[in-house]
Amino acid sequence: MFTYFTHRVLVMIPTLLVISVITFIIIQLPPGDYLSNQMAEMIASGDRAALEKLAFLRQEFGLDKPMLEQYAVWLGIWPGGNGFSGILQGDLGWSFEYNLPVDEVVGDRLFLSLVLNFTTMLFVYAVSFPIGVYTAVRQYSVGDHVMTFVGYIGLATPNFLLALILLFLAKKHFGVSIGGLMDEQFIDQDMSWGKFVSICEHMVVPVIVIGTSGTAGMIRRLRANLLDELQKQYVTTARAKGLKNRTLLLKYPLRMALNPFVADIGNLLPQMISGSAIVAVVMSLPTSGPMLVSALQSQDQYLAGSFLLFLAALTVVGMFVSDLALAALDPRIRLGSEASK
Amino acid sequence: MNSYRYPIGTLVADYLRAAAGVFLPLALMIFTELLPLFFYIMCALVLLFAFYGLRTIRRQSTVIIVDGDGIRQEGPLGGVFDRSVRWSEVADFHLRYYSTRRDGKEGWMQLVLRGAGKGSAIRMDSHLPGFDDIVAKVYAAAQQRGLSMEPATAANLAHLGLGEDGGEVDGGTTSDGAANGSATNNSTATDAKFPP
Repeated sequence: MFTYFTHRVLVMIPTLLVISVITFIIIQLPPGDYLSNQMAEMIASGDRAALEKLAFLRQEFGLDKPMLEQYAVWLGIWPGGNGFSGILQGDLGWSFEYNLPVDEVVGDRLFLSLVLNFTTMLFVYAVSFPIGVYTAVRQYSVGDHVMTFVGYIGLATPNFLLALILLFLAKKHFGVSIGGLMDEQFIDQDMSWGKFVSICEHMVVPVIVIGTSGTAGMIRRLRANLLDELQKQYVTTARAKGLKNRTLLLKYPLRMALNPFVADIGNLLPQMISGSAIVAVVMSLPTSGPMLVSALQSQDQYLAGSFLLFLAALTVVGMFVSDLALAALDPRIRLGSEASK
Repeated sequence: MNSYRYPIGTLVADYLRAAAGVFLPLALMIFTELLPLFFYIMCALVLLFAFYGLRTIRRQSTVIIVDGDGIRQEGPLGGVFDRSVRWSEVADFHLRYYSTRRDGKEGWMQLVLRGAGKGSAIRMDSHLPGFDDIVAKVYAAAQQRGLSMEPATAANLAHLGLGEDGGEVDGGTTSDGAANGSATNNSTATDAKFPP
């Protein structure tokens, strides 16, 4: 397992690097950059002084350098104008749109995104596990039919639509606005107990909204896997030998059925992050999603790049955890399509 | 009596991995002023891969000796890593498969064998020449002692052509159907079925 862990770490590092390169290239693919777009507007208005300032800024931020060099400087593995000063040194770059360092613009958005997505993941697993097991063990019972129906509704309902419905219902019936991730007085304040409680209170609805489809999908998968295992001969044999149902379930079929459940950690994370971006726009959540969309639209390359790299790192770490858990849980040989299940 | 050592070709790859894992983070730590969080991550990487390198050195000087009585591991440092398990005392064994690829190919198997004392585990992986023969012998010994296997071990044995008709083995089975002869006769099937 140690060898596997080490090899997996070695795979993870180049993966992150490649993702960061691709991210940086994609951000730069559209012609021009944020400053050249601004320059075009100023040329139209005849602002000569601003033109000189923009030329200075292009040089200052290295936008006149080759893309590869810009990338290396941004990452912090190549010296720029201020020596080594990139992401690895904690300098996320400059946001041209906000005219501020990226870390000041971002504030605690990255942290809140992490907390929201992590909580959603816990919610998905905490809810889907008992329901998935129950619906498989009590197949075709009333409870199974009800849960299956709810599951299909959850799968079929887009997250942003559910968010809009909940916003509407909360406003109409309870007279409260459930947008945002904290009360207004805590915005831009340091973390305190009051702020923590406020975040927890506001997180309930977004977690349900973002986690519903994932929960529904997970319930279906766990139910199907467990049903598959429960119909195998070794279960019949074990029952015939007098093994108690609960002991049998916990010892063998459930362990086998958990594999795809664990393997889905890696897939669930990117799905939730991309899904939560739209929900964040609808529910005015101060997470990374809305600001990332805005940064991509305006070609604010360092801001967008920082967000994308953070999200990619989160996804790669999620896959890493998922692979480790799977290797520990069931280290059996799987080849071809079997391996990707 | 047969003795087996890890081939240097396999170990070179591991040494290169260890070197890359130690020197690249170390270079970043020395030449750039890292954020404390990244500094600690790099420190952890250096320690991890330094340990991996030491482990590779240990593997290089390890000899696995198999004879009619049992299996013995002779390691470096004056016997600190020496282990032995008699065939008649095999208490537990696991055959695990690991691969870092999505399609599960190009992985390796790891055999963990324990004797009567729980602490004396002998570990080896499929990079060891003769690994298939050793697995077959361990399997035969386990059969004789009527040991049960975890589902993953049974499935991996089946892929090696050992166990119940070489097909998929259901979880929780105790593979007590195969004869000892079939276990030792399967080294060619093992080679054929082992993933690239």
